[in-house]
Amino acid sequence: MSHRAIALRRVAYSRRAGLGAALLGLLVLVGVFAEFLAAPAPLLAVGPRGVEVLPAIVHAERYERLSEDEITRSYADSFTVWPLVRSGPKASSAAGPFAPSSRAHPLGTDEKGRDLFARLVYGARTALGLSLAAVLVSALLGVLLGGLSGIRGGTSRDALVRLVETVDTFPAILVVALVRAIEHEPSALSLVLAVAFVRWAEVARLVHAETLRGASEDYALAARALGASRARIFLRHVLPNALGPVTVSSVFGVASVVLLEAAISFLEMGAPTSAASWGETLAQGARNPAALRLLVLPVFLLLVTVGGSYLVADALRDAMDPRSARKRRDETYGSFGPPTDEPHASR
Amino acid sequence: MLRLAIRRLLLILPTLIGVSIVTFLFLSYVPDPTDDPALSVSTSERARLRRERFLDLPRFVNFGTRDVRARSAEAMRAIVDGDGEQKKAEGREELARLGGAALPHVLPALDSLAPGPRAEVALALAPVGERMGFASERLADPARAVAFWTRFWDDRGIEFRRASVRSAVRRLSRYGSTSRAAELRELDTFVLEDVLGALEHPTDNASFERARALVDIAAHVTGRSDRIAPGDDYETARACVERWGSFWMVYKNDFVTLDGPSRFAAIVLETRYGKWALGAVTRRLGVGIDGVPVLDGIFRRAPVTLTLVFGSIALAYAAAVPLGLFGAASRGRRRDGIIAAIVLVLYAIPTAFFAILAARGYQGHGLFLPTVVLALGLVAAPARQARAGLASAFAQDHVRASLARGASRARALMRHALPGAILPVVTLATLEAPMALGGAFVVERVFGLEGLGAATIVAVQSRDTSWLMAVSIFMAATATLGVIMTDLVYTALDPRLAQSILRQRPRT
Repeated sequence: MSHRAIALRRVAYSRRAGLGAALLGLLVLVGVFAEFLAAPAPLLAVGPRGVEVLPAIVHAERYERLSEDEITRSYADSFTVWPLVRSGPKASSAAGPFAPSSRAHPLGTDEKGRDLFARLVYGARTALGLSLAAVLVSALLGVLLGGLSGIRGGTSRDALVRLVETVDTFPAILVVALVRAIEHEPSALSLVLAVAFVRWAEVARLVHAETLRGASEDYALAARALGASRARIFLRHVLPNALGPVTVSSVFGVASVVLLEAAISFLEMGAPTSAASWGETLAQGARNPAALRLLVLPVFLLLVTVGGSYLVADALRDAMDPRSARKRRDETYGSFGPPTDEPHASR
Repeated sequence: MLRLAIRRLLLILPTLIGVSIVTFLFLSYVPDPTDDPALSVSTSERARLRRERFLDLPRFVNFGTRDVRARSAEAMRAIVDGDGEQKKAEGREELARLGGAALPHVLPALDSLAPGPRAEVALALAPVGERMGFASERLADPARAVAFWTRFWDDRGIEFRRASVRSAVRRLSRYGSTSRAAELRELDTFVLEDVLGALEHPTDNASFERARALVDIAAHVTGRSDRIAPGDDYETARACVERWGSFWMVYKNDFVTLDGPSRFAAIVLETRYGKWALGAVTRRLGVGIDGVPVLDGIFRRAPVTLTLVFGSIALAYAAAVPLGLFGAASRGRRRDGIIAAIVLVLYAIPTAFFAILAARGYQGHGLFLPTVVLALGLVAAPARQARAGLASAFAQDHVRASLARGASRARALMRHALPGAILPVVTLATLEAPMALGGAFVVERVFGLEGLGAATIVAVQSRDTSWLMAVSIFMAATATLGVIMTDLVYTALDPRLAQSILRQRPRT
């Protein structure tokens, strides 16, 4: 059985990874299908104007301006399928600020009278979308730069080591502050780029170290003797080994970027002010001690997201560690380990 | 060992310069409020605002610096063959502003002009003559003006020399009398370079009087009514001296001739980056939007933030290593899992939550509680690393040998397993610091502490580039120092690594 197969098997059997993946997957689903959970317009409307599917996405601007009553009236004589909660994250509802939970607003409303349930649901989209995008961009950038310097060696390697050292220790929050300072309108894209700008260094460091190690292994030397180009050696023989640590670091990265996003939204430097963000709800909770749910609910969601990705990453790391892959059978980890009846690993 | 430390310390400087250049390039795209086309100010006012923020300069290199020679020649051209009265009036105004500093370039050139233009230029110099104290010469009369200025240059051209001005300024600051001040006034703006160069922050009565006399001359020749009144306190006087420093930073080239080396220096210095760097070195990292030198602001606020960051890391490590030890010693049992779960929950709950809860029950001042709050989230990474390292160290032969010889479990862990396993945990500290800073910003906000975070958020909103520049460089410096510290701790813990660290970090 190959190392990767062992690793995958170990992840699949790990209770930790299962729990983490379930939590994270649930939130990803919530984020992706946010419109089905909370939207100002119906999911499906069959009426005098014909068939409308998900008008809240197709005509997003129209529904930002209309009030709840107007929307309800416009669909009065058509057959409609409504989402779970009939309000979007942006428009403030008729219930006013800090409304207690009701049938229309199951979790009540926030400081600006917006539906809290919708805010939290769309906050999942913001948090996960931002962090996944940032982590992907930084992984690509890191693999590219780390691999390049690893293959080329010489001056570019030294330059990269120095650069990585500087960038890696530079606080992400400052980079975000700098980005926010040069923008007229805060945007989500710049936030992704800012976070990726800081995070790529970690990936590059991992890939770089792996390249240095892998390039001197016998199989890499053999490939070289057979006339393989440096790029081919990197892609075929070095990169697959590096992908393990990169994956682990990226999944951990999701956890830390979600927390970072919450922190910068909390400091009012985060995503565009109209977009929903857990950090922003948290900041409202800080300003209004009476509304405890503004504090507790986003924290709970953050706990689930961060905890979920941490568990997955932790399980991945344990599974991918080639040293422990063979040794772990004797050294049982009880509740947090692979099953004892794991088949004998052979390499 | 020492060599390594010194070399790394020396390498900080290029790193910081690199960081400052990158940050500067980035921040040079900060939208400037005066750049907004919707702003209702006149064209000249906008040009002045742009100039005072160095927006008219290129970013990094400037080959086309215009000094007083170029400016006065241009003004003369505008007066002589400018088309339209508008252009001519602008030229006259410019020449009057340049004043005495332009005379060594304008007056010798008067002879080469045709009589008509010569009279025009001479007339344009009338305000300059008035400032110099020749109001009685009736310089508004064209014939008299030309004759006066020609004679003036023949008689007194010799006084327009740097050396004599310098000694005159020295005499004024030493003996301070009205006649010496008048002597300087007769040279008009030509003396500005030395007058403002001799200007110092007043600290006692004598230096206060000196600064007052010098500022008086500068205000007279430039027409800026920014003087020190006789009864002012030192604080006001110091602010006034600062303002003149800023003025000179912006307008120096209007009154100074660039020759030889100074022209080469101007290629770098007469740029936005050059101006910033010069201000950073000579004027305490420039002046922030609140009018306080940025360096003073950093020194006042940094202790709070650094205490939070490093205090919380120290606290987190003090908790994480025992937790890791405990976890490794009892691995596989229920309590190991419980510890892991608690640490994970502490990590996954945002710092803001604990901070808000703690701040509600928190009265009075002190950094202890904020530091503890910040430390909570930082325990996870080192605890996990320590546990993993110790767990694998526990299976190593020398630990098992010590157990076999009858050492207690605790002794085997502490004496034999811990030293080897602690190394990766130490490295982790440099990566925790940037994370801790993000948390520190949140904690400062919630507890209302006067730290770097609060000021940085204000700077982002007001687009205060000097503060952002300074804070980035300060953070980069702190981080680099942290990396060096970690390397030193590393080599102290395991001397065998000294060689490999020396080799790993080669020339840059």
